[in-house]
Parts: sequence; C-alpha cells; structure tokens
Amino acid sequence: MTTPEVFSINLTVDKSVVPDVLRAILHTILFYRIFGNIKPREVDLLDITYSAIDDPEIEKVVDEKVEQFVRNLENHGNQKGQISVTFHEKKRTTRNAWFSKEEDICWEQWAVTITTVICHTERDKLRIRKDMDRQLSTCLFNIIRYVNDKKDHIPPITSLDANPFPYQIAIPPTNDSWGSMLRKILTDPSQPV
Amino acid sequence: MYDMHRTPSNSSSQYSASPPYYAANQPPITPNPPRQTRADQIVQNFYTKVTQVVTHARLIQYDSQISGRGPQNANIVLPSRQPIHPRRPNKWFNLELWDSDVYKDGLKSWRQASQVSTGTVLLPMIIEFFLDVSDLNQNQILFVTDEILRRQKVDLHKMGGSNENNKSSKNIVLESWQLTLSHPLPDPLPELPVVYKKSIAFFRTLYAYVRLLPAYRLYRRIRKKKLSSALKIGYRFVLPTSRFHDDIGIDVPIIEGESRPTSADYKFNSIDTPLGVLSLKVNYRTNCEFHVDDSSEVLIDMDENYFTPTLANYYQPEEQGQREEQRQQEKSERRKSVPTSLKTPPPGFPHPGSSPKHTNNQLNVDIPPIRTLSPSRSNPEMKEHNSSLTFPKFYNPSSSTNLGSNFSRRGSHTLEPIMQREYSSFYSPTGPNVTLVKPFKSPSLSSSPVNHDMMPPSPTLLDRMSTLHLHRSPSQLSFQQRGTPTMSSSVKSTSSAGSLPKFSSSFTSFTNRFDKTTGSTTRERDGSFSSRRRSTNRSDGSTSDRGSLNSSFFTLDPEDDVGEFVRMCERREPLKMFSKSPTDSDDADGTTRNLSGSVYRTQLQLSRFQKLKETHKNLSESMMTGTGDVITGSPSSGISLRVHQPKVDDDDMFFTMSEFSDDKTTSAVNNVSGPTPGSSDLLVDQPAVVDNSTNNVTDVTIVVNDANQNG
Repeated sequence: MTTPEVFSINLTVDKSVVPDVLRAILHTILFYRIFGNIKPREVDLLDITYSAIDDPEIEKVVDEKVEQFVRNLENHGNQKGQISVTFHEKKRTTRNAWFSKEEDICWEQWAVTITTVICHTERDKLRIRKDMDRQLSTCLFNIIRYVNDKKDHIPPITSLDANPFPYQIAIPPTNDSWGSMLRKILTDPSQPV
Repeated sequence: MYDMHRTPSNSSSQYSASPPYYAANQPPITPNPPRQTRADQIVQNFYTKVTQVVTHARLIQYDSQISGRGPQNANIVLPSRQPIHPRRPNKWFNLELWDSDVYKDGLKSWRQASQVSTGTVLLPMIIEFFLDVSDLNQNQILFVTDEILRRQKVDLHKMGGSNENNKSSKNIVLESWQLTLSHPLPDPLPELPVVYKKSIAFFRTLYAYVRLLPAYRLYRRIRKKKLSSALKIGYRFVLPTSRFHDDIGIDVPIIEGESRPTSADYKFNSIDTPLGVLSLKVNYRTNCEFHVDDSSEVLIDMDENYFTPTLANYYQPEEQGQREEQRQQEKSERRKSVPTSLKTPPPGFPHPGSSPKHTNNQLNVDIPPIRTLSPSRSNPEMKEHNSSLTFPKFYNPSSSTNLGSNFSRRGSHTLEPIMQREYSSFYSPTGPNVTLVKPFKSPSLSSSPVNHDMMPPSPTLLDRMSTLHLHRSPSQLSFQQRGTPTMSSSVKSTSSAGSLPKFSSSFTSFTNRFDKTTGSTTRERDGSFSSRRRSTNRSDGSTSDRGSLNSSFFTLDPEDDVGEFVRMCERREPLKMFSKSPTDSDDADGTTRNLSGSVYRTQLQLSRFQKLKETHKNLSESMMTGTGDVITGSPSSGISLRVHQPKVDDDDMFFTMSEFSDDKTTSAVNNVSGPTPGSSDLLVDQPAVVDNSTNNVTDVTIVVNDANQNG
C-alpha cells in the first residue's frame, strides 16, 4: 500500500478569525482536489483573495466542519486545533468483477493545525491580523507550489462521477497524533476516525 | 459525520465542443473533430484556457463581453437571420468559465501569426497587462504607494527611455505571461488522460495564483470603482511584430527608494504533452498600488515633512526637487498664517510651546512653537494671561539662565504646540483655554505669555531640559493623555487608570483611507483633521506605529528639530525629571504644595511602573523561553498577568494592567520594599511574585492600585 502524500499547514491566528481562516483553507484544499467540473468563485479575506468552488453543497460541508472545529477548539482550551482532509480513491482489488472488492485508498492527507492567540488590545489585534495576512498568503503560495510540483501521485481518473476522489474531513481527537490518525484512516478508511 | 463526500452536486452535462472525459480504458466520450487529433485539441484549448483565466482576473470588460447573447436556450432568430450563439460556459479542464470576446481577437491574431511564421511549432504566447493611463486628464496625478505606505507621485513623462519630447503618457507594464510549447518531445509520450488530469490541477493553481499577484489588487480596486475611472488595465498579445518601446517595462522602477525588487517571476511546473512540453511563466511588477488624485484635491502632504511645524520650514533647506509647486504653495499659505517673530521669554519661564507638559519627556528636539492659525486673536489673550503667570515650582533656577537663552523657541519640541493651537483655534473660539490646552502647567500658568523669537535650534538644549520637572495634576492627566500623546508609554500609564482613554490606532485607518480613497480632504478640514490624526497617533503610543510614522513623516535631517525629537523618543530614555527626588523642589507657595504631592506620587508611580514593566518584560521573556506557548491565565482575586505572544509590546502590558486596575484596590499585597511614607498605594510586589512562578502564569498576581484614586 502506498503511503499517502501529506501536506502540513500550520497557522497562528487571532481567535476571532479562526473560522474565516479555516474556511479559506478548507475551500482552497477542496478547490485543488475536487477534480470534477466546477464553477470557481473568489472570496476576499482581509487583503487576500482565495479561490473556492461555487457549490452550495460544498459550502455547507465546509461550514459544518468549521463549526465543529471551533466547538472542539473551545472545549479543549482554545489553544490549538487540528483538522485533516484526506482524499481517497475507490479501487478494485482485482480485475475480476466477480471477486474483486472495492478498496478505499487514501492517497493524500492535508494536516491543518491552527494555533490561536487571544488578543486583548486593538493594537494587538491589528498586528496579529497583519501577520495573519502574510501567513495566509504565504500558506496559499506554498499550497500552489505543492500542487504544481506533485502531480504524479494523483490517481488516474477512472470514474465519471462529479468528484472522482471522495474526501473526508476529520477532526482528530486531541490526544491523537497525525501519524496515528493516518494509520487509522489507512487501515480502514470507511470507519470514522 | 465522517461521510465521504462526492460533491459537487451540480455538474451539468450540457455542452458542445465538450472536453473529453477519459476513463482508464475507455475511449473518449465525445467524437473527435475531423482533421484534428485529440492532442491538438487539448493543446489548443490549453492556450485558450490560459488566456481566459488570466484575462478574467485582469480585465473588467471580460464579463461585459461574454460571448454569445441571450439565455442559453434562446432560439430567437433575428430579422437579419443571423443565428444567435447562446452563451456557453467553457468547461475545458473542468474549470467552468464563460468565453469572452475580450480576448478573442487577440488570440486569433496570435494564432494566425504563429502558424504562419513557424509552421508546426507554436510561437510563445505572450500576454502583457499594463496600466493604461491614457485617460488621465491634465488635472489628475498618478501616485503609487510605496512599501512604507507613502504616496509618491509618478512622473510618466520622465520615465522610460524615450528621448523624444512627446508628452504622451507611457503605459506601465504590470505583468507578462508567457506560455510556450517546447521541444524536444517528452519521452515516453504521455497518455492523454494523464495530460488532461494534470492540466486540471494546473488550471486550478493558475486561477488561484492570478488572484494572489499584486496586479489583482489593482484590478479589484478598479472593479469596485474605488479608483478613478481614468485608470484601466489594458492588455495585448505580444506578437513578433509588436514594438512597445515607449512603455515602461516591468523591471523599471517607478519610484525610488524601494527596498524590495521591482519585479519578480514565477514559473509553473511544465506539463508534458504528446506535442511538446507546455510551460507557463509570469514576470510581474511587485508594486501595483497605483492611485489617481485630482491635483486640486491633493491638500494633505503625505511626505516626510508633514509634521514639521510650519515655522520650522523657514529653517529647512530648500524644498526638494520632487515637490510639486502646488505643495509649496500650500505651505506658503500655511506659513502666512503664522507669525514670524517670537521674542525670547524671560529666563526661567518656559516657553509657551514648551510648557512643562511638553518638556517632561525630555523632548529636546527643537521645534519652534506654532501659533494658532489666527494669531491676531491669540496674541492679546496671551498677554492677558501673562499677568497671572507663575512659574512652575519645580524648575531649577540654577539652569534658568541657560535655558532662557537657548530654551525658548525650542519650546516643547513636540508637535503638540501645533495641536494645541489648533485645538484652541478650533475648539476654543474664545481663545486659548488654559486648562484645556496646557494640562501640565499649574492652573495659574497661562499658555503663551509673550511672543518669542525664532531662533535656530541648538542641540545643547538637551542638557538644559534635564532640569525641568513635570507638573501635572490628576484632573488634567486625562487630557494629558490626549494632549501629549508623544509621552513615553510609562508616563502615559501613570494617568488615572480608570480614565485612561483607549485610542485605537486610527493612523492605520488613515493610511488605509489614503490608499483607498483619492486622499482628498477639503482645506477647511485640514487643521482639525490633521490635529485629530496626530492626537490619535500619539495617544496610541505604540512604538511600532510611531516608528512607521516617523519614517514616513519626519525628516531625518540631523539638523532638524523634529527628527531629533523623534530620535529621542525612539531612544526612550527614562524621563530625567522622574529620577529627580521630589524633595529638591522648591515649594514656597502653598498653592503648589498639593501639586508637589501629586507630582511626587506621579513620579513614584512612574518608577513603580517602570519597574513593573521591567518585571513583565523579564517574565514574559522567561515564559517565552520556557514554554513558548500562549498562556492565558485565569483571573484570580487580584490581577493576573497575561502573557501574550512573544512579540507583545510593553505598552500592551500597561494597557492590560490598567484595564484590570480599575477598581481593584486590595491592600492585601502590601509588601513592596520601602515605599516612602505618605506616597501612593501603588504596590508592586515584584521580586517575591516573580520568583515564585516561572512557568505558571496564573500564580503571578500583580496588584495595581491607582494612586489617583487615593489622591
């Protein structure tokens, strides 16, 4: 079994902008990895414009996950939150249609870690926000570089589905490391993490 | 909760000339067009798609020129019997965009040119975007904002290599995109499904990347009509026959003094195709922050001399060449309203501009004081106040003579005189209000008793000023906050904590405003606006802001008063007046006895706060090195110290603490070593508390009692 490519994203942001930043990251990831036909849209966040998919279903999913993440963050002390987006492909184990089993293989994982800062003063907020601008834009550039560089690991598109690579957005339990979470996904992707 | 998602849900399947979907072992779904291989089709559409994506993010006319008319299902035939092409989205490479006429002609000419000239191998397709200033009229001036948020005028006629005398505006090239199909062919030849799949990923990155470049922000501003409609982004296909000598190339700097490189480039990873290797690269200008102002509206100088008091302009060297004449004119208008002669004040008497409230910070920059904008009104009143003057009691007479000779016009060496005067002129129409304008003087002291001569600044004033004492009373402290925002943070924090006004940094909003608008204000609003701006600048008190402010607005000419003052502020020396023992002060007059007590308390507060600041700094440093995490303490009975991210400013500490100090007057922690009797209740148990906890923030409790509450 091939190990999936892992791309890590680490951001430190003011707590008040965590939902927007996470939304931006999730939309960006999905924008690059939903290979079916999509209508693009652009979203302004602070001074940056990121690209997203113009689809209400996807927006709903992202909003739900962001809410879940924020709740999780608050329950665990508001310091650091993690969320992972994994992409899978359905593969037939053998070519024999009678005996083959459909396998679910994870071929890529995006490990997002967001560390929060709580700002008390307006000036602090402004400073963190400016830094966040820079962080986010660097992060988006890095993602672009990564997506450009690594194209060979993308499995062939075999289905005519709207989205050939099903994805899973999961929030690992706090005491889980990325490695253990990934192992869980790899061994049995159909089970929730 | 962890369902697999298979969205998007609304992929339509209605298209003509549809892109092929390739399954691993299946032939393409759509029939092949005649006389064109599939590879050809992919490559051709690749070029089209690149053009589409970049023009879509740069040209506002893209949407208005979408190809085809009417709704998709229109079957109306016009009287001219011309069939209407319905609008069709272009779904090639799974990125759905409308075709637009905006690029059609250019693309067509490029295709023709490249096929004719080279035969089989396509020419590189080069698309350039430039700033089209041909619509700027005579009154409009082009500005560009540099990296320190300062606007600089762009003189298009001087730039470029043209040696002709033509006065036509040159275009400023912003970006140059180049797509090439190069040989040798990749080996082994890639399969078309793989090519298509990689292209999908490629176009997603292109779509996102084109919106992260500097020119996109310009496009966005134009689109949102925030910019003057005179600015446009134009584009062109660069053909072998094109000659654009007159345009200002991407590498040509528009303004001087930028530390970042003028241009940058990025190369997308190439995609192998059976016909060659496709690769896209872009060369772009890093600063595209262009603005247009009406020359009649540009009234506020954003240059470095903005904060120089107008009188100081008399002593400044000749204005630099790049200033417009119009700015000079404005300055001269300002100068006319200011009296040119000021007599030396009597020895020992602080200059009106140099009231103790200004001198307390050791402000030794020599800025001549600025009178009101209505000098005729203020002069007689000043004389009036003259009679009721008493000298501040803490002024050391021994140095008075020295001070008298050199001190005068240096006055406050801050810009507060400007603000005061403007306050007095705008907010006290009846004349300078002593309590309003001069919070640091004793109430009997007036604002400006006499006229003062203008004298050239002298650097020796620093020594003279060291003997001046701050004289404040609690009631005036809050205004002091507003009135003397240039004071160091430690001083600021000694004001009554409950009334500490919190000013958000409107300066950033101001600069943003300048970035976003044409920066025009009316002349009438100039004074109040600038004074308001300055006051909020200072009271914000952030060194970082001050730093940026300084570099933008203060000349660093060593001879300049303002520059010296600013440098002194940045040095942040401890205020010498606070180090002097209060018992040295002369205290002959009963009326000033109370005030001496408050000054004494204030000085004590200041020293305590300074120690506190040190402690906090040390504490936060130790916490940073220790844990490196953000720690939020839960408030305990007293006041908890919250340690923020490492880069927190000392000023923030004070704000935080003063927030907490409002009504928490606990006498529990009273074991500070040796407060002098009768002094404030400001207690900081520094050594004991710090030693107890190095890693657990919640144990650090620092009680801050506001002396003023007890005073």
